[in-house]
Amino acid sequence: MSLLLFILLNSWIWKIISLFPLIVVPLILSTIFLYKKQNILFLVTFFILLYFQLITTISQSFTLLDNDEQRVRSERLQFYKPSLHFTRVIFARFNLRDFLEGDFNTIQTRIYRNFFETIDLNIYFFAGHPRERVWADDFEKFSFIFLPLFLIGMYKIFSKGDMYFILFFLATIIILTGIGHKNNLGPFLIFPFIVILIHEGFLNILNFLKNGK
Amino acid sequence: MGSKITFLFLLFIIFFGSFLRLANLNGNPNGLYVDEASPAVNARLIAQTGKDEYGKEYPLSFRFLGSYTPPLYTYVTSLISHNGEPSIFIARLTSAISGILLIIVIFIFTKVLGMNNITSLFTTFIFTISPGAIFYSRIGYEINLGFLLYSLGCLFLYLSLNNQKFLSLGFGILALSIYAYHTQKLLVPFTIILFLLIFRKKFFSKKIVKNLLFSFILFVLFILPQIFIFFTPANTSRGVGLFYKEAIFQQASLMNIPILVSVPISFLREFTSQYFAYFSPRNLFFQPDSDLQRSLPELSIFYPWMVILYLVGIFVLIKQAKLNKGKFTVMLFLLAPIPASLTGDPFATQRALILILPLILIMAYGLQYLPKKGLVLVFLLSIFSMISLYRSLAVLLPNERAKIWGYGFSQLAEEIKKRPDEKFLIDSGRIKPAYIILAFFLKIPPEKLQLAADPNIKNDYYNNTLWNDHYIITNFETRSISWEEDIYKDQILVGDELAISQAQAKEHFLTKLFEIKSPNKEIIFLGFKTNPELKCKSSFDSKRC
Repeated sequence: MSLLLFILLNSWIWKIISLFPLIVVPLILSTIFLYKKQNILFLVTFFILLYFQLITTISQSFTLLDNDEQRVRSERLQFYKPSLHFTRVIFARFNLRDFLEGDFNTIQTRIYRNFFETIDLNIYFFAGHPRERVWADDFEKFSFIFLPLFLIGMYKIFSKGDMYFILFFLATIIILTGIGHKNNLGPFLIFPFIVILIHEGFLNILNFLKNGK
Repeated sequence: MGSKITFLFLLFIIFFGSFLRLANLNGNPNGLYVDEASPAVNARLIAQTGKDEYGKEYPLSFRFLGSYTPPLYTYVTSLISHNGEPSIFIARLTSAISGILLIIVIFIFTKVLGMNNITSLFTTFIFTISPGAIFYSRIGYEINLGFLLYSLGCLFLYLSLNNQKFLSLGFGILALSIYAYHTQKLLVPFTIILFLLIFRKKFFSKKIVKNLLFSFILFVLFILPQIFIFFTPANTSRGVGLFYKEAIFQQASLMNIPILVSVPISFLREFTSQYFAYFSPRNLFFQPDSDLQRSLPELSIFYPWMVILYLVGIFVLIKQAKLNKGKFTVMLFLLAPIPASLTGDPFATQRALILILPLILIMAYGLQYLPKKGLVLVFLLSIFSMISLYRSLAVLLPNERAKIWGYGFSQLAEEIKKRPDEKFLIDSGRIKPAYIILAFFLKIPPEKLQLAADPNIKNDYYNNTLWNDHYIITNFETRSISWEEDIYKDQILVGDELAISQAQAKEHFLTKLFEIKSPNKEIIFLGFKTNPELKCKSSFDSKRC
């Protein structure tokens, strides 16, 4: 019952209901199945969610540069002229210039960006504030008062070594790192995990208040 | 690992760290930022006359434009530069030395926390190569000195848990850190109070309370001069001025609840969001400070791969939170971002630099639990990180950020020197205060600089926050260009591309004398000679011609 309360007590689910109600059923079901540890049913709903996440997210290339990025790259390539500094000779010889300013660097930076955005709590609890991402059209997903519950829940679940939860949680982070965040519904694939962590924190607080443990 | 080998490795790390902090210190960052010029100029004036640019004798806080900076950095620099020629290297040397000493402090800290030699060396190495630690060691103002003193003070506080004699030393050094940077004014009292609360059983026994009392008296004596100016704008202008009061009231006004409830909620939300931003891996390991002057291009405080050590470290730390070392690290970790979180700038690395200390210690907890193969991987990643450090620090910073760092002022000073009989008017409308940077490069004699300042400031030094950018020193003047008057005077107008456009130059018969460009080929300064005769002929103005 309390889990259902946390599923509904956030603005994220209401935003999803208003924009894409079809997702709400698998979202609620996957949260419940994950909590109940019903592996097969969770996997089914998880893949349905993944499908929706993929079709609603605007894909971002890992290599293509926009006009401004191309300008910056061409400017930066000029800084590696061997005539500018003796160390640049080494860079020229080993072709490090293209390595540092080329596709490898672009891919690496974009993977990092997606990964760090996925694990940034400010994006979920403060609409990205104080470092808003204008392009992502961020909105507050959970009230900030749930943040302590989330942290307590996270600690409890990780220290219990709940591998089933941890592995799916990590897999979700990896998947979202690949997909990216350009979605006006947000990275809702992670929604069940956050709700369960908040709920776990709530149960622990409740237990502490009741039994002092 | 034996102590001799450990010592040798430590020496190597210190040597390498010194190289990263001192190499091309004069030219990278490329230029002299206004915040660096002020302590550098005042350090020279203090060394030569015992007075600052306003003629104030040995100030307790240096007036800097319309604000104030803590005095320690300037005084230390004045000792280093005593009667020497001013140079950018000297202006930044105190910071660099602080950075090198911090390497040693971090090593001792990890040893004191009970880490083995390998973990201590790895932690020290990670700190040594961290972009944030290197960057702030290379800039010529007070932050890194404050970081060193705070870290050292905390080290002695922790040591006092086993030997109370260190308590007074800890209190003394922490008191000194208040003279180094604004952040410490808030942080140091918090640290001491929380430390005594957490470890109260250790200090509030009859035998030890005398020592505690002595340390407290010492602390008060040390900060007494600061207490005298505590309620003046010299202290409050930075503290209160940066607080996000408007944002809170704006948020509160959007809530349809009584103001007595909405304001605390808005404050709590704003503070919590700012506070958690300092723990966010996105900010710490990936996205640099949004202020381009306060960050390296494309690198944040740490390298992205270090996030693993951070997350593992936090987990291990929570497990050890009941031990003294765990309690102490958690205390530092939770306290460090508080002052910065009370200011409106998002993720201001400068104000939260001391956060590096608990973060590095947390990574040490993480490192301790890595298998040997993991340590090899950490070493390989560190080596790989050197390439991205080279890209960011040696290639991108001096080229891309030169304009932000005040590149061009030394060249402008050369132009002024070349023409001693001509008058220069430097437009201050779009340029950071130029007088102090030019005073640095032109080596303006103390008496001339002190004469140029408003004489009333000296009499009400700690309360006067009014800032006037109009300066007349030797043959140059700084203020906004008045297009109705200045074109009728025989002088050289200096500004950037937008301050003096091609159309204006043509209309007012200005002749281009020089152009100063950044390494990135951006125009920084344009110098135009006026032609009053021709201007008067073309549009006769009886008042001005």
